[in-house]
Amino acid sequence: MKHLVLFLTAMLLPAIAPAQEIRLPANLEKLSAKAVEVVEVNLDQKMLQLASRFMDPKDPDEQQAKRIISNLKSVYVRSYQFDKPGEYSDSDVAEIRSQLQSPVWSRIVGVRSKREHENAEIYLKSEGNQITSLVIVAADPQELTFVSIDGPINPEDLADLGGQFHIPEVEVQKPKPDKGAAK
Amino acid sequence: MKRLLLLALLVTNTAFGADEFKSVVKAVEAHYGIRHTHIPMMGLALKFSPDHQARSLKLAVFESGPAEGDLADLQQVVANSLGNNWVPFIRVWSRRDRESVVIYAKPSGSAMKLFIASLEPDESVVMSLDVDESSVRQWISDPQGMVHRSEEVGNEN
Repeated sequence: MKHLVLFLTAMLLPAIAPAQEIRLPANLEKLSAKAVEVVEVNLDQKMLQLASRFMDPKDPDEQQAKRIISNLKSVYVRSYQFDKPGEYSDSDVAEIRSQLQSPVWSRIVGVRSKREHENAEIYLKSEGNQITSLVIVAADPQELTFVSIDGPINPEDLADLGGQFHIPEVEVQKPKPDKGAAK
Repeated sequence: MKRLLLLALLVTNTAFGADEFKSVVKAVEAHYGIRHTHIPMMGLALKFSPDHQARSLKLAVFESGPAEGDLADLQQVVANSLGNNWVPFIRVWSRRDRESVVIYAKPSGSAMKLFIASLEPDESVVMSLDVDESSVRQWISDPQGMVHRSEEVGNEN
């Protein structure tokens, strides 16, 4: 009987295994509660490999995007849309920024969102000379978007990834690490 | 003992996804206490559609759904009935429309299979479909827009 229970548990486990860890700042649930629409895109390595297969081989931009995403471990996007300006506060965003502090994270300057009235910030985590993670915080009066990219990536690569997978389109003029990190 | 063996068979069937679509539809019905509606001739219409994407479409429409959407709850209901080879990749929750949407994907030859469950208080939809290369590219560049367009395709059929 015990064996049968164990067998049944083993059969069921894969189906009821908890969701994988999302590498995003904590406390995003607070924003979910205030938002009128929440979009979550979760791309683990398996899904990224799958998506990269469908990039257009004739399009140089998509080929560039394919080269970038085929090396990534994960891309997580959280986008919160609000009914009207002022529904989320600066302190909501500050709470998120506070988790992206130096010395682990450094904020790069010279980032500009391609969307009107949107401010974008990019934070990097490095090991040696290699950037291993990147977080984008894009905020406009009625929408907040967080993107967490895990894997080797350069801020300049975002020009090719912007617009894919709900990633905001940003321009990184000249990436300069701001060792003061989050402010 | 016979009952346990029967249960084991049932579990095996579910875990290995003998018919994942039906399994999810049944799970949604049981969990939310709703029944999917029969659409006359829909199966026939889809079977002879010139569009491959439409031919691959499996669709269950419910005339109601939970009063308040709960993404985590919906994801659990769907995940428990789908095989492990499906990857959850998009979730949308709208307070405005009281809508919860979860989308799973898995590779299928040179294309991709998508599984979509969308719940709203006055209508819910469970569907699976094969998407070709160009559709996958559209999904990648605009996942949210594609969710809404898929629902429209489902409603048209």
